[in-house]
Amino acid sequence: MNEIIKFDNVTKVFKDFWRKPKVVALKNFSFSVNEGEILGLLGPNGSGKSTTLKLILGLLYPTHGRISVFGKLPGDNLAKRFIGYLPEEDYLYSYLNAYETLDFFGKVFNLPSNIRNERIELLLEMLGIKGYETRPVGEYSKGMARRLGLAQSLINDPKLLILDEPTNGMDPIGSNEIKNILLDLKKKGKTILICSHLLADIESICDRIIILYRGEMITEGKVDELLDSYKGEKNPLEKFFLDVVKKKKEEVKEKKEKIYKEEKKEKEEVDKDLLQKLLHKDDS
Amino acid sequence: MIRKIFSLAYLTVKKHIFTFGFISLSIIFFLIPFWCSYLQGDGTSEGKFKVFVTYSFLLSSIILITVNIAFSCVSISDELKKKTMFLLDSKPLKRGQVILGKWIGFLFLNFLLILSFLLSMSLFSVFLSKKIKSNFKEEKNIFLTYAQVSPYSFISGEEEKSKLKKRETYAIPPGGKITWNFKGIKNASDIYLTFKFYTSKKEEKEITGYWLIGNPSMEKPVEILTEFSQNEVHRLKIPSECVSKKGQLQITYINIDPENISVLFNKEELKIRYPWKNYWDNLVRSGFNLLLVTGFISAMGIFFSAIVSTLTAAISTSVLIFISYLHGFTELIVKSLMGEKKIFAYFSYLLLKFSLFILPPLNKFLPHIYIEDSLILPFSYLKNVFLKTTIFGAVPILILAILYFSKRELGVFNE
Repeated sequence: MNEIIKFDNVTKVFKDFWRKPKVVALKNFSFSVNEGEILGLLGPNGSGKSTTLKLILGLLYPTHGRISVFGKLPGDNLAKRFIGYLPEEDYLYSYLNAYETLDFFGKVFNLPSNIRNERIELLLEMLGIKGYETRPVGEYSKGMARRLGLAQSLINDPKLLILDEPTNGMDPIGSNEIKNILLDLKKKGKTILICSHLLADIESICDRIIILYRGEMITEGKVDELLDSYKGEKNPLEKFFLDVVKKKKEEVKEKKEKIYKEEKKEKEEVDKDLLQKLLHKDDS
Repeated sequence: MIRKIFSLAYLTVKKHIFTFGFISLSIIFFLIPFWCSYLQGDGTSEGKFKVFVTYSFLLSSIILITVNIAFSCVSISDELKKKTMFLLDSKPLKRGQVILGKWIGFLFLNFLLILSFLLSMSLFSVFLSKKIKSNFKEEKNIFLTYAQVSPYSFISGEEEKSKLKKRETYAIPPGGKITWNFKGIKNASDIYLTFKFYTSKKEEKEITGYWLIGNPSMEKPVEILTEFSQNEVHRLKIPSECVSKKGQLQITYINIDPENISVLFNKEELKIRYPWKNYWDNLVRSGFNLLLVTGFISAMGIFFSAIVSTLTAAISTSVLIFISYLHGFTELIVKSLMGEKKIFAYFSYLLLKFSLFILPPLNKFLPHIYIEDSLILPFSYLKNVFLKTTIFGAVPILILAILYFSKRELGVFNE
């Protein structure tokens, strides 16, 4: 299978103004996304999911390691032609209406006007925006803006779809519609990378998941295989996720305590030595 | 590529064009000539019209400068703040295209504002001319615009030629003479030599001079004897037959004053002036000139906006435009700092001197100074403005902005 995205030992360190390391967002992260699969990227807040997406899109540059997207470096326009991206929030232009938004992004992809108009009509219909296309985006509800966000990510009929919290702010009906659209896209052989907190959605859509914790990958595998021991339980992925994260948290806590104890011991020994030296000096 | 740039330019235009701010501005630009039509000037019909035109252009250029700083400094930093740039950057666009698209968008917005202003100027000019005719009852063509030509060479006494080059005056000793050569004068009926002179004797009022006016192909030059007072601007009528078909003119002045005193002509004031083109032609040229200046300002605003936050960009651009606009005033500050021996003064001096070196003198590049004298903006002047504000101003600034912004990590932006 073709590897659409490949991360090879990628580390991302955010630095401060003086170029001193501030936060390690990703630590030696390696993974790949194969053509036609749906991969879920999970993790608590601050685990490095958004950083991973930004690295794929070329918005951030890796401190160490290599990234390739469609065999090119991230940010390469040849690779970007095949990518559709739905950001976490609706970063749309509030002064454009839905039609103008889709038309603008269609032009950015150099789509001929007949294809552009055809796709706009199709997407407006598919995502339930038809009838509201002349209203400025600034007046849209969060759910409607989300639908439009998804529509703009599909305007170029992408081979790779990157979705950051696709159902964020949507009602259950809307969420279900989006889920069905994604399943349709899966049938069409599209490659999808999803970041989501709604684990039930991930479970029913994704082929494979990766769980990140504090910039490190703690689990990776096929959904069926990972959830094998949780069969018959309600919300198995949620339980699995919580167990894995809890285990990792405890490990980190233990490690921290161990380091703290060792440091304390070392400090006590140094203090003891110093005290003895002082006492010895007073005696002499 | 061009299509993408224009799509981005459309986005910039769309962002501002239907906002309350932009519509208000368009109305203000339309009303500026209306307000200025109430100014009285020096009480003459010509004075009233000059004040109307000069103040309209001065006010509009000041507002345009402010508006451009405000709009352009928001351009990139606002997209980063609202994170719309994340979405834009995920598309197959080069960041340079984003910057160019924004700049072209601002140029178009400026064009619309200038167009609104020029339309209003045309309307109120016609209205004012009718008002002036009925009020002043003068038969003056206020819509006439003049061309001004400086001598391209002069012949004086051989021994004094090198010394004279550096001076601000042409000095003619008693009994001495000087010949000025002019070229490029178009055929016109009312040609004048405007000049101002002074002598070492302040009390001397009327100075006698002898003029020979002709051209190299003319057999015998026209002779004129004059008595003019010093320290005043004079106009000497040039017979139209003295100008050759190629537009050449040669004027010789012989100092024959019986008091044996030297006459010093001010170099800046000595010019040939003749009516050429009309006021409407000048309006279009002045509008183009304003567009060039605003293009430079918006490029600078975009540059800072791509590097720092909106507020810092606005402050930085304003400071540089202030230096550029008040070139003369800044030069004074530079000179005053030269006397200081502190390190801060030394660095400020170097910084200001460098700023003056790289920035075009905007105060000299705004057309109201020309318009005040009813002078047509020559193409050579527009070419100079284009070179300094666009080729050596906006283009390098935009290239720097593109180079920096293309390498910038956008994902870490937090304001």
